[in-house]
Amino acid sequence: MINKQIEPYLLQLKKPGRYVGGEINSVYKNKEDVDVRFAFCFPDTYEIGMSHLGMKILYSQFNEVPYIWCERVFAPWIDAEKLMQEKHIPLWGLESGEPITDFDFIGFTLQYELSYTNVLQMLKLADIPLRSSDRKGLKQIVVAGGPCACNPEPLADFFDIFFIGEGEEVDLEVIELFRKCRDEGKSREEFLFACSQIEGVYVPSLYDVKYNDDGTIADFTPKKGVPAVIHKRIMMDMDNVFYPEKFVVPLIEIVHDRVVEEIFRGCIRGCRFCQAGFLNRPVREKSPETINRQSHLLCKTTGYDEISLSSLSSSDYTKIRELLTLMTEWSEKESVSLSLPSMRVDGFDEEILSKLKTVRRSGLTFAPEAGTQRMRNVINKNVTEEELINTCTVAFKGGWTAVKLYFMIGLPTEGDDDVAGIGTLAQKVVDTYYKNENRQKGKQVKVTISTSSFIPKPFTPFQWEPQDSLEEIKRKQNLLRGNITSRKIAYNYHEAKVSYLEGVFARGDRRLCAVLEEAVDRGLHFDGWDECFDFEKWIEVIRDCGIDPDFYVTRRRAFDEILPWDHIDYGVTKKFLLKECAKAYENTTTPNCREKCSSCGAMKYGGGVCYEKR
Amino acid sequence: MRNVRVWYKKFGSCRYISHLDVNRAVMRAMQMSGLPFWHTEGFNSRMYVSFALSLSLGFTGECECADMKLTVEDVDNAYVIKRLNECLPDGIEVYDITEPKMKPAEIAYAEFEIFIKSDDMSSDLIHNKLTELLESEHIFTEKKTKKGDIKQVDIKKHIAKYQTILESSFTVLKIMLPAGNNVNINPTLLTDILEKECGTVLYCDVRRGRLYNNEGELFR
Repeated sequence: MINKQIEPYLLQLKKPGRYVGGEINSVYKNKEDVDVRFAFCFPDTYEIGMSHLGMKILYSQFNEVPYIWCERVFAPWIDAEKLMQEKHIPLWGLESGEPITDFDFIGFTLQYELSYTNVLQMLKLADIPLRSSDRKGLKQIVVAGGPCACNPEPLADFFDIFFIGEGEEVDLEVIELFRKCRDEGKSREEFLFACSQIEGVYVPSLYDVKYNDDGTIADFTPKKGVPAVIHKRIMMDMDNVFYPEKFVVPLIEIVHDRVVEEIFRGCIRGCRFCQAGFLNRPVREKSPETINRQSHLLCKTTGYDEISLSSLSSSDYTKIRELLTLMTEWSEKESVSLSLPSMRVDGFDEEILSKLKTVRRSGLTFAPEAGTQRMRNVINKNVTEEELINTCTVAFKGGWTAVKLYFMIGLPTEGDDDVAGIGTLAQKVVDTYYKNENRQKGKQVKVTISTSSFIPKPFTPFQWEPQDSLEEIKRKQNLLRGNITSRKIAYNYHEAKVSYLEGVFARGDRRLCAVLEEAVDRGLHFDGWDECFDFEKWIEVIRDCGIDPDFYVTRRRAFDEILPWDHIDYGVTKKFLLKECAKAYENTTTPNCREKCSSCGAMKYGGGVCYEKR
Repeated sequence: MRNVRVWYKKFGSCRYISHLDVNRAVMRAMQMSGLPFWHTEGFNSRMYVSFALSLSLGFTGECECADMKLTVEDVDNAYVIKRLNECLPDGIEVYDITEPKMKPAEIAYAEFEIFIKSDDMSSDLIHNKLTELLESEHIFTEKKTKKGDIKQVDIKKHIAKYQTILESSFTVLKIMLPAGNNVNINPTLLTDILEKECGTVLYCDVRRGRLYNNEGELFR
């Protein structure tokens, strides 16, 4: 239902299709027939949020429960929010068109740090008090999950509940508990205390933090009866975990406009910079039969003719050939194309290539991440130059002429030769193209290198490391640019200021809540968007709040410091992370989970790759 | 092989999506329907569909159409209509399937119904301004050509016929304007001028009706 208040103004807005709902497979219920109204909020635009798989899963799963009506809410773009503020139109759910102000649950998914301001802005637009302490009664329970919930502290004052780990079970347990508490006339405080007893639920208001004079944490204490450590929730049986039979099919074009089929969770590799690789341990695969059945059904219920087989490292799926054989049996007949994003350099061979090429050709992107072998050893990216060159040879023989290569700069122990090495490696890829005798006449090769600046993240072996300063990143970017001589190589880099701000919040603590609130008050949000990002204003806000941003970004933490996220457990032990960090300093790699178990701690979940036969 | 002209209405949420988005939604519905639609040949094979005339974002359409091809002769039209509607979003609704009699290139005129109102101007005042505008000798406006140049157009000489109706809370303009590949006059060119004349924000609900060829015959 289109919101009646906004409708007269829709044609004044950019892309009004963002605000109207009405898509195929969206779920409509009679509000009199449901007990719990849930606003699933994605703190970014419609096009970004609708591409997100986690939201699709939970939206379908919530709505399968007859007494829950889950609606989608996205951050209105600046033109729309201006209009909403002028005309006093509170933020609404796309399904009912009704304001979400008095909904029972307001749920956010936290995908990246720069969307935190959008979270607050959305609460404001919905007329919901920002701070959890200002919300009363059993309604407006503001909850969050997603990867950034691993360090929820910069948002601790605003949320009632954080879900740690995978949401499929725990979300429903909390909603069921809410319904029970409301029936029994319990208070908000009683409900939240009861929630804290559920595994995977973190209620930040039930913990107190004290700080040392140097700004580090002195003490983090749970209130009476509240668990000191919050353990993540995890789904072990991927063939029986809920997966939607339908996706809401957007009316306007979105970023990933296709069927997304998850093939496994986790990653065996253990690249030391990669937070997802540590948060999602252990690796758990879906069977080829399940993937085949689910994705075929999704094509039928959505009309999409493209499937993306999604995971952190697609070529590590153990039964990839079996899977592609199963799927190409019908995909070719039905003109459906398959794509495998996140391919590793060493997981690429001609047979896989031919299966992917049968219908439509997608681009080729590889992530060597670092330019020299030493640097790749430090980050445990177990890929050699030879493997990259071999892969490119195969790709060029297969007719590809453009390759994208992703790298990071600002990695721990990085020297200038490591940065320059990125350009050297790209040049070798160019040379590989010209060694291929079957190359198409008159076609040029195009190698695009992109660098992002490394941001140390919680729950990785680099969580104690300093992040490079702005000046240092800029110097390294210039150094690399100077090392590129071929016009066949294009160099793009990620804005260092964006990474700096991300670095503040990635390893931030509760004192940043005040900063976020002030930033939103001063009109800062959509920080992930070039047209809205205002670094100078941000630094002003942070300093005005009496905080030195370098405390969070460029400071080296002591190994025995209490980190803001130490009370959260993702299965990977601190002992393991310390060991990995020490190995990084020695330029030593760690074998992947299938080669050898390194006792990271994830074995305690009793399944997945830890118990595969080797 | 059978050529079919699929007639549909565009309204509701789908009113707010672009022609390209409608194109995608229809292609997905064709794919989802499992009906024997013909695929184009070539490297990027896709189901063949060709829209007669694009419709601007924000307009509703009463008699929109797209041409498709069925590889099987004896598919029941009623079944195709039913199946497509099951696969289309609310706001795109197929109501008829016919055998194409004219080529889309023959389309020369379209009729529009425009409902005009304002927050701070009475409908009889708007009606007066509108009548005044339509009765003037020339209605000049600037229009961008495909090459990016700006040229002066006199809308007045393109208006085939029109009628205005004054209602208590809004004004209605029924108008026939050139549409199609040769000359195309978007009714918002007219309402934009009217908005300037009125000096206030106007809410215009534009509905495109039937299409005609140069001889004034209904497009079939």
